[in-house]
Amino acid sequence: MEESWATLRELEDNLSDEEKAILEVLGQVGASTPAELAVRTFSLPEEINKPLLSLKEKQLIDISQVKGRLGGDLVTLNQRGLQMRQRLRLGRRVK
Amino acid sequence: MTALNAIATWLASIPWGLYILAGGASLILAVSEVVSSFEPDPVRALRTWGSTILLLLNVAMAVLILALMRSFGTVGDSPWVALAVGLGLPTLVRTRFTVMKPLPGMPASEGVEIRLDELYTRLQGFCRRRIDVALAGQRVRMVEQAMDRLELEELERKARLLLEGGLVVTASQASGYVDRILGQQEYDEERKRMLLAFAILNYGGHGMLEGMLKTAKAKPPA
Repeated sequence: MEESWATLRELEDNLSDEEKAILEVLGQVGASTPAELAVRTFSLPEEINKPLLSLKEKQLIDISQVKGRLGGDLVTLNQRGLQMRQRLRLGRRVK
Repeated sequence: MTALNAIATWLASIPWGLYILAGGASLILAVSEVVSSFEPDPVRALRTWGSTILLLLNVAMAVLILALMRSFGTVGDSPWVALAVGLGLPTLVRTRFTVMKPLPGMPASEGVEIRLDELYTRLQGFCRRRIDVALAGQRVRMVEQAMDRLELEELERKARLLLEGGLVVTASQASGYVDRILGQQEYDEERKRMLLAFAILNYGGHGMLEGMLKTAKAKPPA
């Protein structure tokens, strides 16, 4: 179901710059590991744990498990996250 | 023999050309969708199972919709119609051909109704997620190989070239990033190699890391 404009606006106001950067990277690259997201945002992996948890709490991303030696979390944008990313891009274009 | 003759007559009556045209146009549209959605890595995206299923799904939907339209008698056997069905598939699917109506006496809100557009969107979403996960898996495997076969100094040199050379990445944070990674006392060498390999893969592309791995393969064992 489509989120209402007001709900997304309220949510957008509560997003930090780091959270917005992560949403943008996920939109560009697709599913990514936290280490990859850290590299893409020029952060260290431990620095993006907090924004990732916050985005998960806000139900903008999904975190699943990946196999392999680097096994662990795989972060993806969910439907709500995609809507928010589109909103953020639109906002940037208007500015 | 009569049954075989009947089947042969029926098969001969099907305008295959129209279905091939609709399916082909829809296939081209789906390929362009995958290429634009997975812009950083379109060729790899097209080689995944998710992509194969997505392309087949699009062809099947175009053929199904053309068959439905022809069976309703709403369109004639024109190649232009077949082309329009193939190219206009995303719009046509959203016109809500109902494949399962609500049971009699059940309110519409009970959600018994399954629509073609919903089925298509769900299947499309599933395929996109499969492609996404497959690409992420490939990147992870490549980084694992780089961690096994490449020296920290080699990874550092290439990452510096990419992030500090100013040719590929111009962001201000990029310049000190390699030093930040290497300066982390609590990181072991493997962790540093992983982050540098991810940096090369993300900013230099698959080709660059693959090239480094090929060169490493040619080296004699230490």
